[in-house]
Amino acid sequence: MLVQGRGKALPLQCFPMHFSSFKRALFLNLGVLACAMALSVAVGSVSIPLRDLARLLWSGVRGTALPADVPAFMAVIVFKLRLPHTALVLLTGAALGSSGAAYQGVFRNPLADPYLLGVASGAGLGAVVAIALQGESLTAGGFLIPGAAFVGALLTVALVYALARVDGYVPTSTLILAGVALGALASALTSFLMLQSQGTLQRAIVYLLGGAPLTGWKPVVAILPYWLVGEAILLTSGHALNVLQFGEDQARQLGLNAGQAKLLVLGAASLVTAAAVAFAGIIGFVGLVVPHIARLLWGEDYRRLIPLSLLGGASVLLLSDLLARTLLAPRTLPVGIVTALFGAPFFLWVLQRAKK
Amino acid sequence: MSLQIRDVVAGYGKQEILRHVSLEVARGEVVALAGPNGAGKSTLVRVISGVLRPQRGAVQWEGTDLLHLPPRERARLVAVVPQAHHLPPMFTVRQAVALGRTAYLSWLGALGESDRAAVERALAQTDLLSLAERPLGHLSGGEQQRVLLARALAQETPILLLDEPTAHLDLRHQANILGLVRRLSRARRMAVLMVVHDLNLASRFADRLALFAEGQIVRVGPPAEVLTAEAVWQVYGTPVEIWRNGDGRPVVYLKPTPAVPEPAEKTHDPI
Repeated sequence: MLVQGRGKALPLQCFPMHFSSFKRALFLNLGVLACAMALSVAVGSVSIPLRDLARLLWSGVRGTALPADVPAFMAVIVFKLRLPHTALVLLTGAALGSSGAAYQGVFRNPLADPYLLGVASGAGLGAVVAIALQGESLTAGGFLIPGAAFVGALLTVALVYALARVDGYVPTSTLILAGVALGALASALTSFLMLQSQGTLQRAIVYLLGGAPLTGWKPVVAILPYWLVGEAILLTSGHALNVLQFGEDQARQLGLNAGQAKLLVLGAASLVTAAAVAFAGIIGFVGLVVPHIARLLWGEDYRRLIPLSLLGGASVLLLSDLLARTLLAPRTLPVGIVTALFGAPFFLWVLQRAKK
Repeated sequence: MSLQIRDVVAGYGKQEILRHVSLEVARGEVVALAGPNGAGKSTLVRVISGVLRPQRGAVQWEGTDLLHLPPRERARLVAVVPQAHHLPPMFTVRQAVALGRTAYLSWLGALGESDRAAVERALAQTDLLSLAERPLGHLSGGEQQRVLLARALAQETPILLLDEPTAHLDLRHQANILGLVRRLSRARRMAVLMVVHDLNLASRFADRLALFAEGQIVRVGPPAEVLTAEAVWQVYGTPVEIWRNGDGRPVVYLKPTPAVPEPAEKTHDPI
């Protein structure tokens, strides 16, 4: 249901989100997230009954001994495989959702996504360089590949920023151009390296689509510091993003140091995205669609939009990951394919509704 | 006690738009900037508000150098009312006006008691209290312009710059906004600089008028002194008649231009 206002179609939520409805939105998102997390841990090649899962978690939280009638292997699956995997997917989805909202806010463009400044192509290049350097070794390479991906992503963004500088300012127009240009260059280099050897090609494709095949808590621990720092900045940058919605000139005239604010927000968003992409591979659509849907449902106040996109992104990716693991069981689809397959038509459907 | 603009040279890239512009605006005074398109009026506003760095010159407010202040400090001295273009449609009036307090808020943007009071005052002064919860996308052009004025007033600055605040507005809104600006300038002792295209509006509402031509101020003074048929012809190349109304302010009336034969031109026939 849309309201026509002076020829401009306003979305479903056309009145300001009062605190009570933000609380409602928050609780709704938290509820969905909790369900998604429970499902993610319970469902898989071995199905953990929810009751047993609850009891396992409860004993884990309290630090008591595991319940005797729950098979030991279930405990292993839950604590050593499913929980860390769920945690990683949650952090990744949250990073993509919140940084997507931040990018859309800085660029004032609902088509912006967290890969606009080259995070994805830089990560891909970093990973492929690491794979190529490893040679024909069959080992997964431990943390070398994700680490290289992380560094590649951040270096690319830094380079894009440096290239986009004009007269001491960094206008959004040149940022986009530099991002596209460097992204294309990185992709070209990546393709070149991949074609150099068959082994590199296969492993690179596997990585780019599905991430590093690492299990356990180590990846979670590895990205947590970057995730926490980046998200702390993003969650508090709602006000600055609101000011930026009036354009950089007006933002400066209102007293915001627009250049610093953009650098801080884009830096934090790139940091969390790089951390997410390092282990998860390049997952599209979440960073684009989740903030968009959140905006259609709950309005454009970025103090609300960033946390809601964070929660939404986590839920969406958890559910996508669930589908990826179960659709073609026992095979696991790369999550990026699931998000694209479901993300695109869903987004089109929301747009169709919004147009009426 | 005034805004002093001295010898400002500014432009974009190598192009010079403003050439050695000097002007003084006192507290409680409304100075209108008029002139043809591209003469530099909006450029001067951008220089004073810190969006464009001049190549030369100084802008001072009661001794403080405005040009080298950080954005936050400058925004506590200078507020700008831009033209109402492409405002984000989902913000409410109150949210938009509250952003005028940005220079006094932390990174988180939480409003304190004094901030809220300033916002309410600004909404009351611009008669927007009844529209406070409406989204900007639901407002008319005149109402949106009032919102931008309220936002600038919430900034509580001694200097107010307006860039064509009445473009695209109907007569009633033009009168309302400019009348409001003049009253507030007196009441709050603000130095007001406004870019106006309409010479009659400038004449009616400004204490002094600065006529721009090609990046320089060619005449400045009370409208009655500045607006003469010769001055308008010199700056705009358009013949006008100047009438005086009851309170001595000049009214500019466009003379019908006599039919002038086009100079003979050799034109190529298009193929």
